[in-house]
Amino acid sequence: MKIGFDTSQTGKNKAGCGFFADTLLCALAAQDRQNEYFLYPVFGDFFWDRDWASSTRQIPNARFSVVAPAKTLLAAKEFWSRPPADFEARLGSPDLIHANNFFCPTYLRRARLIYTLYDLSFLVCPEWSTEENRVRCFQGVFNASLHADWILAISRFTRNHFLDIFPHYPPERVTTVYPASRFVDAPAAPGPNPPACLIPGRFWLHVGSLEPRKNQLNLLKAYARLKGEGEADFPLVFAGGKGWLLDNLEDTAEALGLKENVLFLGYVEDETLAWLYQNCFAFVYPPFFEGFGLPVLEAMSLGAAVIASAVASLPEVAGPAALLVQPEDPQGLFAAMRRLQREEGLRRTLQEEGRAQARKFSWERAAAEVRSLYEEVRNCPPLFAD
Amino acid sequence: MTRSLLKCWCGNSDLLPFSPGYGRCAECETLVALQVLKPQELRVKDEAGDFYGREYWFSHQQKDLGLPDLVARSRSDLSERCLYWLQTLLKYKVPPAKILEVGSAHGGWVALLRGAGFDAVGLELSPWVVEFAQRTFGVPMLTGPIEDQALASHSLDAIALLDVLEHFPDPLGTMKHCLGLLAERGVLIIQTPRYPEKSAYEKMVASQDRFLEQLKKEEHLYIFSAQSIRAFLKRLGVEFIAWEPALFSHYDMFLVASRSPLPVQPPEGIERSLSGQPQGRIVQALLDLFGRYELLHRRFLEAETDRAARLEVIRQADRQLKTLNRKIQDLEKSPLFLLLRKFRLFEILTLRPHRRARIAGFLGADPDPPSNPPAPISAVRPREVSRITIDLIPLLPGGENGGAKLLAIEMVRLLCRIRPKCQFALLTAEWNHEALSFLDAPNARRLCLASPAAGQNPPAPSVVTRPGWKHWLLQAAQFLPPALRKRLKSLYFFLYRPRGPLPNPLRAFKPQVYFCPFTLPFLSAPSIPVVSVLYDLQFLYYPYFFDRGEQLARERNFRETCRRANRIVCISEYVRQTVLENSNLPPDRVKTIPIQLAKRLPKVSEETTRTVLEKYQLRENGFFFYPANYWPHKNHPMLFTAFGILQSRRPQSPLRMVCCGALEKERSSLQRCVRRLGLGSRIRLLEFLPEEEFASLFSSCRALVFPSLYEGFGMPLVEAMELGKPVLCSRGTSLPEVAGEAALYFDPRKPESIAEALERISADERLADQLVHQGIKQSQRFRDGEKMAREYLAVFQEVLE
Repeated sequence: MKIGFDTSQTGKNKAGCGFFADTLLCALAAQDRQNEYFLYPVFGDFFWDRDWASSTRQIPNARFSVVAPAKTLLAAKEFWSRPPADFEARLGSPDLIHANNFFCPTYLRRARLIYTLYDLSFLVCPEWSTEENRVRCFQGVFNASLHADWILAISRFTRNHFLDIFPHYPPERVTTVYPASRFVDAPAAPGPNPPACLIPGRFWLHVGSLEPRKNQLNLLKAYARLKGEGEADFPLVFAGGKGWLLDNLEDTAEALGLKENVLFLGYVEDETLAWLYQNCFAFVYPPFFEGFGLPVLEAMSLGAAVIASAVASLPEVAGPAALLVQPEDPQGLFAAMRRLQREEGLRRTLQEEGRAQARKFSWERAAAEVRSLYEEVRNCPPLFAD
Repeated sequence: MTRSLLKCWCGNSDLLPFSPGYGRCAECETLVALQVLKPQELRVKDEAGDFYGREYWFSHQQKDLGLPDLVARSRSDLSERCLYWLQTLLKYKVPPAKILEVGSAHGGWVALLRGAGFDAVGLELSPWVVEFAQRTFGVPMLTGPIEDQALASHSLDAIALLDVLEHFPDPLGTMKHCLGLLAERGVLIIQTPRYPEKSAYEKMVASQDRFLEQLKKEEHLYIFSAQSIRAFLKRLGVEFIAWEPALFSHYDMFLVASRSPLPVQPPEGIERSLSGQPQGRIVQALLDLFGRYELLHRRFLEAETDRAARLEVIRQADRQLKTLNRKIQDLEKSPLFLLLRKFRLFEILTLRPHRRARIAGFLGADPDPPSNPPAPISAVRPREVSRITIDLIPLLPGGENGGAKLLAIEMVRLLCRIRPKCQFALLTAEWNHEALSFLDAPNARRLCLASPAAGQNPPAPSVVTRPGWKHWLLQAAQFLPPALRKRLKSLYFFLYRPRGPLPNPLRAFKPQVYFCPFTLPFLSAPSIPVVSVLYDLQFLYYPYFFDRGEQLARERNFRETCRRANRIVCISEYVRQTVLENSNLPPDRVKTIPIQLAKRLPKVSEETTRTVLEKYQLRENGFFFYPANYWPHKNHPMLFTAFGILQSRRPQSPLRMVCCGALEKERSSLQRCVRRLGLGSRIRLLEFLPEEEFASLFSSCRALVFPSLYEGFGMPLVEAMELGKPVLCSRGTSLPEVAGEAALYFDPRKPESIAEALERISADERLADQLVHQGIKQSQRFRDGEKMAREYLAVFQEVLE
């Protein structure tokens, strides 16, 4: 079987979507001994990585070839929105295509289409991203509901959300496949340079790009409250690059009087990230909304105690192994952080339970599920006959 | 009466000179008054003569110190300082608790404390003042110095010394006594003047430091510094101090102190104690107000600072302007300038204003410098505008122009009608000359451009179908660095030429104004003032809805219009604001004249309506209506999604959705979507309808649904209101301006918001009626077409002058 796989977002500085496609592909490559894969580093008429040729994921195996029929931005826009007659031939005539960056091709005649759906956050609160991004994401998901032969949701929550918005879509064609942590729980080498001022076991950790949806603002408020009560024993560390639409989180931290207690590391490499997870006092992750919430699982897999939001997909991912709080309420977050500081026993319990919870998720299993999905989709009738 | 004291409270008798009335203890940094009352002189027996008698509170305050008297203070203190003190105290001690205020003056704070639930008692030296406090506030009071009082030891939870500590002749002794009365965990709350350590008197005089007001040498006997009060309290065994911001921070300090650690009460604790009883709740309300007042005060100060800064900027700019003006005047007097002018070299060297502007734009300078309007052709100033040419070249058959076409045609009709003496030349093109024959009138005639440049197709915004040179240029341009790309774009705009000069018949007409209801003036007529109508700047807000070539063309047209139009008329205030934000045009060159075409639709007979409904198999009142061309910004997919959600929630509902509009290719693609959504039987997508059918359907719909993402005006809203139909529309861009209160708004980016609105309007008859009622009122603003035409004529008149 020939499978076309969208690798457009697997270049450097990946966001959540890119990690999923990237790690899934690697896991598939490790397991799949038969199928031929065409990797598309340019996919759709919206997302564009200038360095796609060098930075997107490639697999050193003869059965995995890179196919890029459009190599420049304008050519890509043209190819994917007003495709030529031999569109599918130029993509290698695959039996099925797996889309991963929200774009949904609508001109496929022969190949089946599997569409990865991460979340519908742009329908919940459009202000969390730019208007252009919202328009494109909605366009993609709308087209997927009309053209995708199968939808791969990364959580049951996303699946149900999709079916609520698009009730016409057959539920039996929406499958949930959980991603997993990409870290292995082994003592991390100190890595290239974990910040020298951080003492193992004595800092709070937050991982995620700095954007409104991630709710770093309320986290700062909760931490300020902790400091006001005189209980801010450890600093608060933010690992994650600047996302969008949130200027000057540093200024807010300073305005709250937290300049000396808060550390912004920016985007960190995997090694440093693993060290941070393993050595933090606890991991705090209170976003307003998530499609899955990979950082929670990553933290758990490396033995961190977790405080997370009780919204969207997070209860499903964290299970009983985390302290869940309402993200709108800095008071509740403050109370949870204080509780964790006071009750060492609770912290140990969460660490153990977290490890057990993380073990329930695995990329091997995800890749196996996706492979059997590929078989099923290739043989299923197209979604619409017309 | 007085004797000199040469010893500080700390025991040091070696005092350094400070000021005429004070010495300074260098060991603890306290100021000591050189002449002081004896302790026994504190007591008051003769109200008129003794220092702290009645007159201290009246004539001494007013005449000697220039401060309000006791009676005035008994009113003003409560809101000015008492609330703040209470707020601070509550952080460390909540009622019920026993508190004594030493030096309570009029007793106002004692009253407030009692209201909050404290068992508060005041103390004053003068029996008259004590009686005043009891009379005025009904509070329990003690008379005389504290050492004379019979109070149980360790019985008080708090002692307040607000502006009294500095009055004690023997502070250490008095405080020891007070601490004896204070419970183990009791707190002291102290406000007292603050001497800035090591400061020199002369320096303070030179800088007019406000602290100097506190040097009241007869009453302020010991003026502590932060350092000395800490040492003082430590000497007394009071180790724990919490500093609070002083109300009068220029010269005071404010602190709470205790022998045991000072925990801070959480707000819930404070709330609980206060709300336990009725008076406490009232006090709580006062504290809330005080908090709000403080916030507003802070904000006010910020605003004032900002305002002052802006004023400074304005002044600076003004100064610069004056300097530049002077320079210009000097230049104009210079011999070189006079020489050039004498030999008329300027006329040869300088270009016409709009060419100069274009070159400036190419060189990267300000793209739309406000140029002077070109002088009118005729030397004689006409009293009224009488010859207008209207550019209808871009007018297309069918509905592709959208609302612009409707407005253009109506404007022609209205202008012709209300100014029969005015002559109109209507510029047409090959593709619309015949179709516009109905516009001919006694004072209006069509002038066809004989051969539009190189037999081009209608200049409709269309996709580049075959790769021409523009396409390849765009392809190449993407590899250039951004700065060079920008230059290239400016060059393209610079090279753009309008379609050529005025044809001869039009020249003979000698138009006074060139009116362009389709925004861009298509012909080049540099000496005739131009008035353009601008509909929207969608290409700036949703550039991705256009392909690159189209984006560039629209931006070029906009910039060109900004350069050449003397006045730009916008169809809504929203569009006007966006124009001002995205250009350098001065505000008086951009006007807003809202579209007044409410009565545009023809009245249709019931017979016709029935026939039309039958033709499309629709029921009266059985469908929602969305008239819009199938452009992406009209948001049809979101509407369909919302309808799908609605259908799944209410499968029994018989309501349908009818859309109609131009753009056939898009319509059939959306048709396919509707079918796949399983809504084929519920949603109808019709083409662009002829007027009568359109009016029939509109008048028999249940409600207008308008989920557009971006609008410049939104004519269907007004049409719906005129027809007595409820309006459901997006909250954004120009729509709230047009619909006002007369619409049910939703967020066009959220399908659930649209679905909920649809559900509400179908279930709630009263809401529908209310909207209709308000709609009729709102549509009155947009009914008077003649008024709109007169406003345009006023603009034409303006550009002639």
